[in-house]
Amino acid sequence: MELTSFYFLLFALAVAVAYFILPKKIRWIALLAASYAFYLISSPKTLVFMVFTTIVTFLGGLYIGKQNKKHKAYLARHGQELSRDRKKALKASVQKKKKRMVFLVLLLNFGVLAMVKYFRYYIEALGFADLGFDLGILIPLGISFYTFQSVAYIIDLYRNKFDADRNIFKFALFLSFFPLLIQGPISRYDQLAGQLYEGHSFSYRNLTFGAQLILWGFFKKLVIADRAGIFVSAVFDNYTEYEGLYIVIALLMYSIQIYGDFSGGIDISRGVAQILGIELTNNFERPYFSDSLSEFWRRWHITLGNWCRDYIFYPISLSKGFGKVGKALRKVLGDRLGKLFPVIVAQLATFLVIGIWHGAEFKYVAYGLYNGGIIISGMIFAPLLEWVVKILRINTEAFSWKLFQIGRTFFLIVLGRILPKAASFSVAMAMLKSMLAFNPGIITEGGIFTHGLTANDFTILGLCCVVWFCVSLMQENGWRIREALERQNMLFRWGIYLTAFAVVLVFGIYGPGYDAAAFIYRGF
Amino acid sequence: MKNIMTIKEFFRGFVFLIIGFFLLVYLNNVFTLADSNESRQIFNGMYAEKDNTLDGVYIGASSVNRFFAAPYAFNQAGVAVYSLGIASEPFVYNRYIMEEVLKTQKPKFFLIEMRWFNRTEDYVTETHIRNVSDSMRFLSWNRIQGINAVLDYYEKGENDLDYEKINYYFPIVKYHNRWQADDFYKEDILLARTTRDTKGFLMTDTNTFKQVNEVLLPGYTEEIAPLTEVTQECLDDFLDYCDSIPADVVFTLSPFPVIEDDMKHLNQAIKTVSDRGYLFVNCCTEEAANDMGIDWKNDFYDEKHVNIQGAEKFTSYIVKHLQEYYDLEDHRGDPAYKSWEDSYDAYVEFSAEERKKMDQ
Amino acid sequence: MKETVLDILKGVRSDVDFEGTDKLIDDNVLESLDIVAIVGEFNDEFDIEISVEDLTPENFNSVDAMVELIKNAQA
Repeated sequence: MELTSFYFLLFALAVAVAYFILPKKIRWIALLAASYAFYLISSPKTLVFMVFTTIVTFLGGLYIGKQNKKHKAYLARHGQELSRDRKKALKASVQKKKKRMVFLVLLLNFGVLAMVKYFRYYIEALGFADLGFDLGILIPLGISFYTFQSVAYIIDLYRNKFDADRNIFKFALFLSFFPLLIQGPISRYDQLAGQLYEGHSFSYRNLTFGAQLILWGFFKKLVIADRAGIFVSAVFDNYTEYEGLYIVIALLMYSIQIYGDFSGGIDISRGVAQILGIELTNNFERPYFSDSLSEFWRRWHITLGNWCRDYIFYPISLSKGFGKVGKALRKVLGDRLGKLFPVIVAQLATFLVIGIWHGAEFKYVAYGLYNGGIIISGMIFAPLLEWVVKILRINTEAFSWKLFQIGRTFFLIVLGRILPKAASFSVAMAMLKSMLAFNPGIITEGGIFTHGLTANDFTILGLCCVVWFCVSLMQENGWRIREALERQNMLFRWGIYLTAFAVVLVFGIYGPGYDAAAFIYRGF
Repeated sequence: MKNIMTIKEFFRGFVFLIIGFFLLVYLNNVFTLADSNESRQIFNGMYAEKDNTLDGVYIGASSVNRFFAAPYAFNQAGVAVYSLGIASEPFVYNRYIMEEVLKTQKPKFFLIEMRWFNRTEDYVTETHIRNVSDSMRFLSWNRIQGINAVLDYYEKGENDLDYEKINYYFPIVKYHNRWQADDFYKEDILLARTTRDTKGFLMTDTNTFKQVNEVLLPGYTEEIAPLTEVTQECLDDFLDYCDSIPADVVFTLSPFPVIEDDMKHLNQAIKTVSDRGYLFVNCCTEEAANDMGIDWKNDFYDEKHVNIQGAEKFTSYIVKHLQEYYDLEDHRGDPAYKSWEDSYDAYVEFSAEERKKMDQ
Repeated sequence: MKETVLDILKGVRSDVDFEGTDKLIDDNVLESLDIVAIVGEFNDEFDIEISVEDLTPENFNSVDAMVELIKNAQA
């Protein structure tokens, strides 16, 4: 079921009705039933994988939770009598037990993910295409999202952040909540679980705000993203036929498409959740306004960035082991770089994970390394860059400098996007080369209007992007759009909602006759 | 009991939904089959007829709208019979079209064209269905039932139809890209519901005055070949429906150079109808052709359709038969039927010049 | 101790008014790279071991919270 389908809206409506009819205490059961029903409708043959991960994580969580409780109880009773060293040794032994369980859970969960999503590719890549048994299993719906979510849970338990969940059905809901299955956001137990389990009262405000967010998501996805996608597909699916500005514009359009598609889908998920009284973390904070690549990755796919920060970046950059290596390397690299060493390793690991998260092919790894490489270079050469800024007497407070930074960041992002979108790494390189041709004629002579999008389509796309840009600018300056609209006159508000509705119906890319691109992140 | 929302909120929400609904209806009326589309205009014409003024309605495909010169019939005998022929209309749709007519009319009879029975459930395109479904009024439960029936029928055959019913229930799904199409005019936005001025009889510059250059002769036969199971069932069900309505139903087959094999299937359809006690006026026999004075070279513009000469001959013939069976009033001179007099004027004016150039 | 902490903080981010806010994490004033640098300095300066579990908003939202964290780590 597509997020932007009529059927999904009907489904969400049915779930909402069921939810608010049931007594508060058992409303979570409606969510669990709905989520599993959604899974059975969308991807029934692979349900077993999610069930497996749920059980493994739940049981592992119970064990770790028990260790935590035992340790705490022991300290409470005997803490006074024990020496600092004894306490340390005790803690170490408890940690060791917990670590083993964490390791086991990670192995099983990531193992399933690796096998289902990546195994097939690597086997083929290594040349063992014909293994005799059927590797043609479908990718389970949401496997990347719920696997990462389960790993966050188990590691947080290890870090004693909260008590283990004692109800396997409630826990199953935490991993399978249907708005999350398609594109996330990757949620944390302490932020989401409580909201899922407690029954929420119906709120008219939540209903209207949620509906507005859903409408906005439809607008971004159906009108903007899917429209841009037509041109993007035309160029990327036949890349040998295109050069110069075609590729540049396709890359720009792809940046628009992926942002609209992904953030639109997230908005729809958040809107549905809001109607049910549940707040899902935002996954995007106007990323194209970032002034550096680091900031971009704090504003794009925020929950993945946060996940990597908390479970890869911090552990590695703060690890004593890498710290020691860094200290040792001070002799070779100098003081500053020696200190930065663990951070650099952490960044590298983070971006490798981000790369591979998108897919197994080398182009995704390259994409991760491209981003990581630029950021790491920025860190390594920071003093040099500061010196250049000083020498050129650049006023870093000036707005024009900020504009430059935003532009530079945007350029790097759009350029990097060729890696994940092109069919393969070598195709990406080939396309980069053919991009160097100079053919402005495609615009002046109208050739560009003959590859799936007419001049009218470009106009609509442009106008809608302007609207989107203005909204983003307002949000960047602290405006909360739905709250602001709430304060306006009813006629004005209703005019906006009904216009948006009409725009989606008339200008949306849907129905027979269009290659309705399924959500790009769906296969994750 | 705690209020989950205030009365004011409920009322506001309700009103908003109503407005949204009307917007949806409006948009589905704009983004549908083009206002300039011939089939739609013919259907619009039927809706536009004054209530309870039609004596009869002739239903079928282009085997009707090219054959029955309704204004000519009115001028000859004062009968108001609307020529409701929609290009390639699937027979399955007949009863739903009749239901639409019955909403505003009380015709003495429905004249049903049998030409469709030389096809099977394998032959259909989306256009054939949409010419009807998108011409019917949007807010009509009958329209929905018609879509379901016609899709269920064709699903049993081997064809490439889109079976997603939502796409037919809401025309906007298919047509919303028309905002940039060549056939999108202000008539579409203003819901003009343009009609043609010749009561369903389709007159066009090209075909109405064209004449085939060769003689195409029909392959008459008395033999009978069975229809496919699904098609036979469709006809039987339709006859059940005819049994149930107050209006009379009479069947016909307009004349054309029929292929002998097809005629065998048509004979089976004719037999079914006759066996159920319905009147069948067969215009596709040698005797009828002679009575009509059909000229197989000059009266046709292709192997399936007559031009204006053939249409007039057929129209006179069938009207004569209808007058034998029904007590039909002569409405000529009746001010309530002025639009029919006007339609004849339009008919004459349209054909004034071109007719002179035709071989008689 | 607070003075030392402030010096360290200023050394990592000279552009931030540390004493003027208690939402250094919640308002995204400090980034992960800053945190890592700060923790590294704290570990060195006060001979403690701040681990990943301690990286919560509560512990780093204000200078006072950080001082508290260091004191607890020394115990």
